[in-house]
Amino acid sequence: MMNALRLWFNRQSLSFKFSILSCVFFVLFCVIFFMCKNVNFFNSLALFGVFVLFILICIYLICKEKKQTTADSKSLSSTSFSNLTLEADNKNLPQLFDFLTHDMNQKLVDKETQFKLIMVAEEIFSNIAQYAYAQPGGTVDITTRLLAEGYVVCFADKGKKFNPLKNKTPNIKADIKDRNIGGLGVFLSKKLSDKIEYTHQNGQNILTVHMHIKKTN
Amino acid sequence: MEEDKSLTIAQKKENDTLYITLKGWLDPNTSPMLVNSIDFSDVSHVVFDLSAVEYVFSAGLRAFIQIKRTMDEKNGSITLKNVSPSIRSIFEYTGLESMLEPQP
Repeated sequence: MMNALRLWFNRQSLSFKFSILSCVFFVLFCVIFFMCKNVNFFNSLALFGVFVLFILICIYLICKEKKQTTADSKSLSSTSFSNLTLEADNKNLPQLFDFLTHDMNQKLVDKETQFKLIMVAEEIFSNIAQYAYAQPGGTVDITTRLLAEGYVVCFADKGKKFNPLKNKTPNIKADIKDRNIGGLGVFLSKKLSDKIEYTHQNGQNILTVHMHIKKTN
Repeated sequence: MEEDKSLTIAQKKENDTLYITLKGWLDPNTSPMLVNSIDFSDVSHVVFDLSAVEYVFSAGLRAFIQIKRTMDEKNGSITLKNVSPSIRSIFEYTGLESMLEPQP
């Protein structure tokens, strides 16, 4: 029992330890104080003052520690990027999903955003696999980053220059008979992501997907 | 638990109704597999159970459009049952909700 309590206490943060200890000392202090015979208004006020001081120190320490933790996670998250290179082939889709799911779980991305991102990633990857390269063997570089504003994934390929975002929007109100079967993937990607951008740099097509996230705890 | 990522198709025929239970996801690899696996002869209704389907990508939507067209030509029907809210939202975004009527 004592051992379990000691282990639990060791795991707590500094400010929490300080709060607990100060409470214990304060209770002891009160007991000693009220055991004295001469209790009057002034020494009661002094005791109350000491109590308030303890509380203020605790609040200050907790706030300071919280600020530090947030700053740490921010500086860590802005540099925490992951990278994967895959052959542009639809047979690698499960590998892409594994990589993204693992990465998003690690970065505490909520399940709803995970679903949307996997949907968008599949559409972009299979588009590259189908159209970017004339010969098999071409690759796709996938880079993910967790920034203050959300989760960002870049897809880069060295295939022919092509901006899929300029594709004609399919008529989603058309009847099933007249329904054009293509163009749905890009349309869905735009709809499901918060921002999607295309650039062509150093001979690479780069599609960047931005997702706002609700962080899971 | 490691999830099963391939598509499993289980079919059961009762009179002129074909019940198809799917597990996994519908992507460019698995969607043609689904369309090719269906024998439409003597079938007037196709009922899909999507309770174990994680994702329906655009290739999957195209497969359902194709099956719906085939069934329409035969004056038959297609029903999508046990569709999760997130997958229903995909049908909704692409304007296919009113045509394929995915059910919860």
